[in-house]
Amino acid sequence: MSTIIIIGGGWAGCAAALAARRGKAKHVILLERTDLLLGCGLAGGIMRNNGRHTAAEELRLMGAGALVDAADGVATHVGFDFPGHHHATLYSTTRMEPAVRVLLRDKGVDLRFLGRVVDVRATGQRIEAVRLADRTWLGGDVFVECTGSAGPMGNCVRYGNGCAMCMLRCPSFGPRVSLTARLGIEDVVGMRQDGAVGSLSGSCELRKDSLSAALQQTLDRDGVSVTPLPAALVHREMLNRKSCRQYALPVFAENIVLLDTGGQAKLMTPYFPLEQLREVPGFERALYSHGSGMSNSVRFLSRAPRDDGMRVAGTDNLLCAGEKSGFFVGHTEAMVTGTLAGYNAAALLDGGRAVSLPRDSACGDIIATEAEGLGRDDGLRQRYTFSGGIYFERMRERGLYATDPAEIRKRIDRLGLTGFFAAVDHDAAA
Amino acid sequence: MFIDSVSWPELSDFSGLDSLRTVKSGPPTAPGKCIDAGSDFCPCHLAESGECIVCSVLRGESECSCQWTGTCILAQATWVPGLNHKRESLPAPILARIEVGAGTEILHVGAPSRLAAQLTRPGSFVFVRGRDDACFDTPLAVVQSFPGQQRIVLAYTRMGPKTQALSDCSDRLWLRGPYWNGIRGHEIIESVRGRRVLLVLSGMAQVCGPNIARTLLRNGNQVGLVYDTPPFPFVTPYLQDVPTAHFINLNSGRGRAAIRDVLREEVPDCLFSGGGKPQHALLRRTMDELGLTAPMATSRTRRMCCGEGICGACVTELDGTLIRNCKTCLLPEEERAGRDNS
Repeated sequence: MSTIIIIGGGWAGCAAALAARRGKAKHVILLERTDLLLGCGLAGGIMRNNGRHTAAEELRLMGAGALVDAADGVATHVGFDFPGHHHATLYSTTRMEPAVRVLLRDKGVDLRFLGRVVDVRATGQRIEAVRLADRTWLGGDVFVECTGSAGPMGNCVRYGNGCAMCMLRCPSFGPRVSLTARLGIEDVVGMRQDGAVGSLSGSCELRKDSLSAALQQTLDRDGVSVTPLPAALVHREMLNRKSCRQYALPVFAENIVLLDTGGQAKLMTPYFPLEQLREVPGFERALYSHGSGMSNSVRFLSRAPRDDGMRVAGTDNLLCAGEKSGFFVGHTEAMVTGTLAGYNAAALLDGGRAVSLPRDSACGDIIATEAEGLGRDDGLRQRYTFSGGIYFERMRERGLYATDPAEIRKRIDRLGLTGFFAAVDHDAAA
Repeated sequence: MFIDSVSWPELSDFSGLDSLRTVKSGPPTAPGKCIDAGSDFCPCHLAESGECIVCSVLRGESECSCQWTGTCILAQATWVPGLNHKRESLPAPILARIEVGAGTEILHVGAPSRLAAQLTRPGSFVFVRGRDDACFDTPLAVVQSFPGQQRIVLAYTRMGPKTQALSDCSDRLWLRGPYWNGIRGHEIIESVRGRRVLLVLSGMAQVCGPNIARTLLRNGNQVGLVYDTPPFPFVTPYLQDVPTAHFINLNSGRGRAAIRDVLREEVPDCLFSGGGKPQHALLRRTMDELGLTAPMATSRTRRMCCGEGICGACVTELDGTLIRNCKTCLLPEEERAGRDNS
């Protein structure tokens, strides 16, 4: 039986694993460095805000909606607005990972935790095997790199304020290793708006029970709280450091914006000095659960060169997805790139065609637009998300942003993509 | 056609980058870990001179791609510039000398409690010298360590000027430590839990046995012992925690059959060979013949000079990378694969 090896169990890797199961029987192995799936998604939670709603519905209609459905299934808040964002859904960061783990196991994905990949072996352009931290080699036919771009600690030290002890937990589980870099393929390094290297993760997590009763009630009821900051505590420069351009709005600097992700309150800034935070009414006893008051993980240092079918340039059988594949921000974006990479990995094995998605779909357009953007003057500073920034603007300009289910269904149907990823055999279905 | 086809294996149009490299071997992976990584002595002299065994960034590479699970050495180098500890020789009293025959002597030496505690790890050793001159430093394995009594036990055999100086010094020697890389396969010995482990000890390498046995027992393992005789092993008083042992002459045909029987009966999950290369090879061969696949740690046979990766006396080559053997943790098979350039 042929083997597809997916490296990295974040949202992109999970999506790739599900999509890779299509076609002829094959062994899909998902290698995850830590003991949990979802990677940065463990501290995430925001779905369906702005254009992400369109993309999530496109994925569902194309037959790749299992992860979207799983996130909907553990939602803490549905269809609510927060500054600059509409019809958002928040998933419970507590309940999300177990749900995805069960889903992947049920679908027959061979999940291997503590499976950190440290090296890779190739003959010519063909990848043959990856080496694990326990020094064993694991051979496969097609590989999908979903190692992300955050960390490891050396990068957070060089380009940030040091290790924030985030969900990636590098000190315990070891550093992320870029396979493309190990192959001698040059990764593209993203820049910040302020000219520094990389970007900081855009939010940190407070323990909800450390907030005032009134704030907790607001979060439980509305999913969001907006607390004005005294002028002295407004740090506008922070907006230029964060990776999430969709949240780099003045309102996020002038207020403390919290989102309710279950047990935690998501503080929508990379970090906020604790002493200053506690000067704000309602935050007098605030405690961080992930991240800290002085640092956050540094990301976007490791984008692989790729084509629009997600294959890494210069290789025959290595694909990529998630932040590894572009300056994409968000879970939905990772599900899109992961699904396409997984599909094409399977197609490559089955002797079928690798595909790219049409640009008349939001899912296809963002992948192509991100690659085109690299060549522009400020290309390294741009980030791409359905939920805001330059790409959401583009969605609206091109008429790709839609919230009406019938409109999205019609579009996907017109493109002939209905059930595309679910089809056992694409050619037969087409 | 509703889908744009991307042809394999040719590249589709990619406009983002103009100078793509094809797949080739990346920068060499630093094999093994560093025995001192994360210790009081990290970052060390090597890190300060841009030759850290672990940290690719400190080595001057652009990629942050270390193999180390633990605190970031780059971060440590930022936090403690110039403040990290360096091992220094300190005068230490000789509390007792016990002659055990064949020119071998056991020394009980006074050592600060913290140092003694750090010398309980498998593979622990110190550098000692009987004279002030630094060139007389010689590495000696720690047989046993008593942090509460501020005392360590060492053993040496008179062989040359360094050990002769030790024999000649009266009540005091110079002591530098701690060092831990006296064995190959720390990760085997230190990670095994609740299993059967067999120790085969001979010659001077028997001094590794007590620290290893205590670590194994502490981790809930069943420990079996095989001593190569003659002569009678002098470490037995320090291995009283292991109640029974086999005494076998591994250099005889009968002994080789006996060790085969022991391996067959005990079916160890893990093995430690404290002895010379022929003993390691004999055990490996016998295990192979019996179809046993247990991992084996060994005592080290490489020469040791400064212990800090500086002098180059222990440098070998592995897959095109220079290995400083005194600092680098390799598995025994990796050490065997290396090329000795010295």
